[in-house]
Amino acid sequence: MSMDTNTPWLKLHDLTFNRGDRTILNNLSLEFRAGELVLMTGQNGSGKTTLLRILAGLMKPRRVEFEIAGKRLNWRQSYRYLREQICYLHQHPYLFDCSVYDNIAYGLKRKKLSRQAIGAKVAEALELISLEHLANRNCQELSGGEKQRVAIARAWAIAPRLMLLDEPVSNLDKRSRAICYDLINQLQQQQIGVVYTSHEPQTGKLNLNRHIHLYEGELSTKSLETECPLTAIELKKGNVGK
Amino acid sequence: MLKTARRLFALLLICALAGTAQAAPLKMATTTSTQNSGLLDLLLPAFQKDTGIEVQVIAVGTGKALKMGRDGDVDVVMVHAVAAEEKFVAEGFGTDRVQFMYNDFVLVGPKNDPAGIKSEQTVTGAMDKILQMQAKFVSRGDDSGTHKKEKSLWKAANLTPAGSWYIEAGQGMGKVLQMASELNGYSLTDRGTWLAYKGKVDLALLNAGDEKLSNPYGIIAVSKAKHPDTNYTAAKQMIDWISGQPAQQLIKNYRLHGEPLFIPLLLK
Amino acid sequence: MESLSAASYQALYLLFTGDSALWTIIGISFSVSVRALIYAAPFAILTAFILAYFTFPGRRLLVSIFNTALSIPAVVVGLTLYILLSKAGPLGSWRLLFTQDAMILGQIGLCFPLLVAMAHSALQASDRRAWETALTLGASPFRALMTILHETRFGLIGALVASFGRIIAEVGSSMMLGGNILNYTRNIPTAIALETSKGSFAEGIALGMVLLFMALFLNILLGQVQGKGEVTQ
Repeated sequence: MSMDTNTPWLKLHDLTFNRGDRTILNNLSLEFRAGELVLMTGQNGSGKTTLLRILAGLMKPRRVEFEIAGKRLNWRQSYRYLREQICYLHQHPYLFDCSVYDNIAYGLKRKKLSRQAIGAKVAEALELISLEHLANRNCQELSGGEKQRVAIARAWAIAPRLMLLDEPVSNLDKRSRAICYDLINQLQQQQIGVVYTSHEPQTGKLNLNRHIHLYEGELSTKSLETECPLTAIELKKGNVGK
Repeated sequence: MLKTARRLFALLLICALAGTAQAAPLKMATTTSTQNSGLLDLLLPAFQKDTGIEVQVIAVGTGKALKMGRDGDVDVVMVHAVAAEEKFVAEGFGTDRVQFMYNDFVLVGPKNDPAGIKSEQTVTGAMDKILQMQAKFVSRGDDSGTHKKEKSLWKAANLTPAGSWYIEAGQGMGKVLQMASELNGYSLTDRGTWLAYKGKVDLALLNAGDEKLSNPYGIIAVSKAKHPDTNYTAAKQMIDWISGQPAQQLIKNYRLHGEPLFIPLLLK
Repeated sequence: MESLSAASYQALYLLFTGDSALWTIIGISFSVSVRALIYAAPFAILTAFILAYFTFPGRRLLVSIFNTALSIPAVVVGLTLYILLSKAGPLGSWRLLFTQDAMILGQIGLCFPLLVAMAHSALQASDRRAWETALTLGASPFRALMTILHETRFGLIGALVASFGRIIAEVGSSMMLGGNILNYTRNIPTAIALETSKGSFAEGIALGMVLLFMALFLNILLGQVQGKGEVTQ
């Protein structure tokens, strides 16, 4: 895994976001490479969710410039591309009021695939999250951990370049957390980039590539070993710093 | 405290006695066109002055007015539908029927008179032309006195109106005149409503004067035999009063928009 | 005095013997009101969606205006359109007065504010995450809107049922704009008004019963649909 040497597919420059008089994000710059697993930390209200929504093309910041395939674009020119390539998952994921199958198929239907292709992809996604037996269950009947897994499968099915997970494990029990971490690692192996936020340093067994920290609207990219106490994060040494 | 209560009680008693002392009001059902003619506003205060009887007027369609009489909901009925009136009396629901005045119906239509009914001498001839030309004709269609009159005129002319030109509106006379104006159609109306509306609609009076168009008004007391609780005394008083010379003179002198409207039948 | 039960009995007889005049009136009523609802609903729901999901200057004022418009009496809507559509009015050349189209316009005017207000409160209460989730999964804004409408369908069906109930039972504007013309613009409420004025209470009650049955049926249906919604939530 040598993603760091890849050229970034997406760069942000000069990102500023205000809410009223308050500056939430101040002049940030960021870049993303394929298959990168990024941990984003910051206190509650530090703007993590806002940053993720802007990345997903769901929110218009006051000022931003994207660099996609070498071209510099403003928000209006790029938000559609962002929505296509990046998938945002809420802290409490929203599942549509229909079956698990239909939820996972939702994004695929938008891609105008044939019914067989959709069926095959959904089956694959269900296998990924090991919930094949719940395909026809209505989503309102699922547990919190199952909902989170369905949401991840639904995003995975449309093969985004980057998935933004907003505190995916904060409300899950230990077992569900472990399943979730496994899934995130699998995403990384499939060259899907992940940004993963947490307000606590406890990140479990993840093959992190980078750790960024939001503080008072500013961004600091910190080396993994020094920023996160090793007692809290068990980093797989082989992946760090490559 | 007790004194105040006693005084209050005495006051209430006096009020109650005063209430019973006054004659019970007379309930009269009549047609909307009669009400709209404004004649009642002249007659009823005069009646109350002479007899002390207050009259409560309920203005509805002819059919409903007679039905209210039939059901004993009113004491006296004033309508203008000869056949229905006769039936009402024959069936025993009404007594003391008097025809006390009349006015007339007129044919109105678009000012340019597309069917050319203005030159026709008789009303049946005019209606025949309307049917031949398939000119729009707005009918009351509500079983009212005017509607009954219109049906009897078609029948008298041996015609059966049907087709898209014949519009059965099912509304009051004023509304029907407005519809005729909007749709460039003809209509049969009583003269009273016509005088009240002629300034507001885009229509002209095109045919009148045929004796078939005469519109006699009748007043009938509701039968005491059928409905013992009816205020027959006051109803009879009303009928006698309206047949009397002072009331007949009032009817003769009445003007709507400067034109005479009703002709008394009992003026000596 | 004709008893109420006798009139009701005769009314039922008229209904179930397929009295053609009665069923023509019922047919006109439904056809006009259903068309009014079909024309009004997409625009009203879109308006409600924009008011619920986007912020722009004047939004609150618009919401207040629609809520106020709920209490406009039907006759006022009828009168306003009458003046516009009359021969002497600005739209007189359309020759719409006393047609079914004029009745439809009147009923649209009546149900639009109700639809907007009720759909707005349903959409206002809906989960914003549904909208974002749809967009981030690659749905177009239109497709995402459809998804939101599906998610809020119980509230929206409620809005439709309430609006239908309002316009099918409304007499003022239909009488004024349609003219109560036999076999053309005579619907249930104007026919009831006419039958009452004629003193034919049985026909009036028969038509009233149709309205009552329909209201009952719609409310049972709504209760079923919403009951289903509660179970899954």
